[in-house]
Amino acid sequence: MHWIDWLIVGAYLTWIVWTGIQHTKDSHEIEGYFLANRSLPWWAVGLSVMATQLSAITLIGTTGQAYADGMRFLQFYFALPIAMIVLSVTLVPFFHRAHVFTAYEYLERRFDAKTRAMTSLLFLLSRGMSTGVVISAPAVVLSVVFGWNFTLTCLAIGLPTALYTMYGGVQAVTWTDVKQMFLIVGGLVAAVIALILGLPDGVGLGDALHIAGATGRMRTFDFTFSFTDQYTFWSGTIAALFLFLSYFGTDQSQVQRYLTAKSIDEARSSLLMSAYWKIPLQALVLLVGVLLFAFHLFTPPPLLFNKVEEARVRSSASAGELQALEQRYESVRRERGETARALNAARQSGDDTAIAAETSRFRAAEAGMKTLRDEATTLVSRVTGQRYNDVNYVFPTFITTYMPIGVVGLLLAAIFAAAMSSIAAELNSLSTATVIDFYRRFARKEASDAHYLAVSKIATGFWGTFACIVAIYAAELGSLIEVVNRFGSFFYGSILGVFMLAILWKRASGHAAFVSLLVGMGTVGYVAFTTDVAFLWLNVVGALTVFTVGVLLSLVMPRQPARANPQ
Amino acid sequence: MSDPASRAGGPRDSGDTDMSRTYLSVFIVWVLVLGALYAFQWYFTH
Repeated sequence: MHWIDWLIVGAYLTWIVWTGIQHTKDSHEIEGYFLANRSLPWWAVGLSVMATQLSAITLIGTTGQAYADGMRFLQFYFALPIAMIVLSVTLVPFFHRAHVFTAYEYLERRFDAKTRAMTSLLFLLSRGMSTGVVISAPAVVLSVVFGWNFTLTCLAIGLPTALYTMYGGVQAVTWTDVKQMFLIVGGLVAAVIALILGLPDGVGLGDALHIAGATGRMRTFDFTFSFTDQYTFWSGTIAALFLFLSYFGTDQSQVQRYLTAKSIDEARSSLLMSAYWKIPLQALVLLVGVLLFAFHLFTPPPLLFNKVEEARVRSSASAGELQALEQRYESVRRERGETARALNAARQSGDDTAIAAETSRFRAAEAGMKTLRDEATTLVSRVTGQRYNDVNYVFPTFITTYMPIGVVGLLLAAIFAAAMSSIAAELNSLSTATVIDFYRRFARKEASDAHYLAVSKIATGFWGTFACIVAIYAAELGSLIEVVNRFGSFFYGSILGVFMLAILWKRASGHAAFVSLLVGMGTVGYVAFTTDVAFLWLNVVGALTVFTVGVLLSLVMPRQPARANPQ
Repeated sequence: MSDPASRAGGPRDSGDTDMSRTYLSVFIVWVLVLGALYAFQWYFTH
């Protein structure tokens, strides 16, 4: 990497840490440290909400997914605006009026301490591990593509983030998120422009999208109804609605963002910003992937983008197989390029018969390419004994191979920004749940604000260190992380069910909520392990099971003394 | 810390106004965005 690109990345890291640490002076007491004294404007909170959700995994993984599969993934976000409206009407005013620090604190006021502790513990377990994944996933890709040391890459992402989050609290998280969001969008726009400029003469943006459309990559809508297919219109509008209600309504990493808003209306407006912009922004990310596909129709892509894994295969007993695949690949790749150009020429001539014939030839060549790439990735998996996803390396390889000096640094800074904005929000929320839901609730109920502030900073530092350790040992912990992530998907819908019970069913008691939460998680686990139901639908199963069981139990269980009811 | 129950059901405060028109506009924009995406898909796949 050129020294100018290093300079840009270094300047970005210095700038963001400096910006974050400057907010230390705004966080002299615990309410300032965790909730910015509920003083932030809606637009800053809104940008922070969006930045938290947009991680480096989104930039690297989603562009790769669109390269291979097209725009279909966009359906996953279709329900998000509706979820934001529902939350603005329901949970946002409840949380604000209750003046809580955490979403789970509200559950104790409505139910009891054990329901609060259980939901908060589930959050800490899954979010603590997933923060490690948010660090390690981009670090793996960047270390391979740029030849960096993996541990140092993890530390370069995790430590500065932990540092400014620890000192500056939520103010640092929010105001760095705002800056990082502009950098991320700027990086995406720069990538789109570079890709359009990288197309050959005679092939414009419209031509490229038409050619990509011939392979089905411009298909956004799939109206097939299936419980086993993850990305369809129906799973995106029904099942994902439950996921977004749970994520934005009950996950502390998101709830804490809008608890910092000046008022209920400002909190609502911050969520509605995502309602307006999330789908277009995600479309922009996916468009980068589709344009990468179009770019590589005319600029030869390698058979394998991950050069480290390719070298492992080349030095193994299967090297001959790889060489044979590469020989076949060369002719198929050339044929696909020629058919793409022929299709473009036919389109420009307007001859429908020629268009139909060239489309058919192009699709056949593309199918041949896909078969060969599938064979190559299967070969890597067989040699390494691990699951392998080559598409994660497409966008970073494009950056390092085809981008000019300066833009490489900008795009790398954008990837760092995406990772750090998510990690900072997660560390801040992990610290809040640890201190408010456990330390202040069970260990030290009465103490000075200065004491709680000191403990909060230690908790943030602890979770930052924990996330870095998980990230560094992620390869060894692979199966454990998968279990934890799967476990996380078991309880997302179930926790939403508990909140539904709290708000919609006045008679629901603490015992009923707690037992129904356990039943809901067990049911989701059973469905996940014994059927092929797509994970989005597990959120529906969890939420509806908890709500139904909770209602039935509250009818048969003796009524507990009334607690604070939000209604 | 004050009891939220005393306020949760109380009158709207100054920062809590009726945002029905905003929700309606979000819904309309949502429908328009989905419509635009469908048109986008149709145009580039035909």
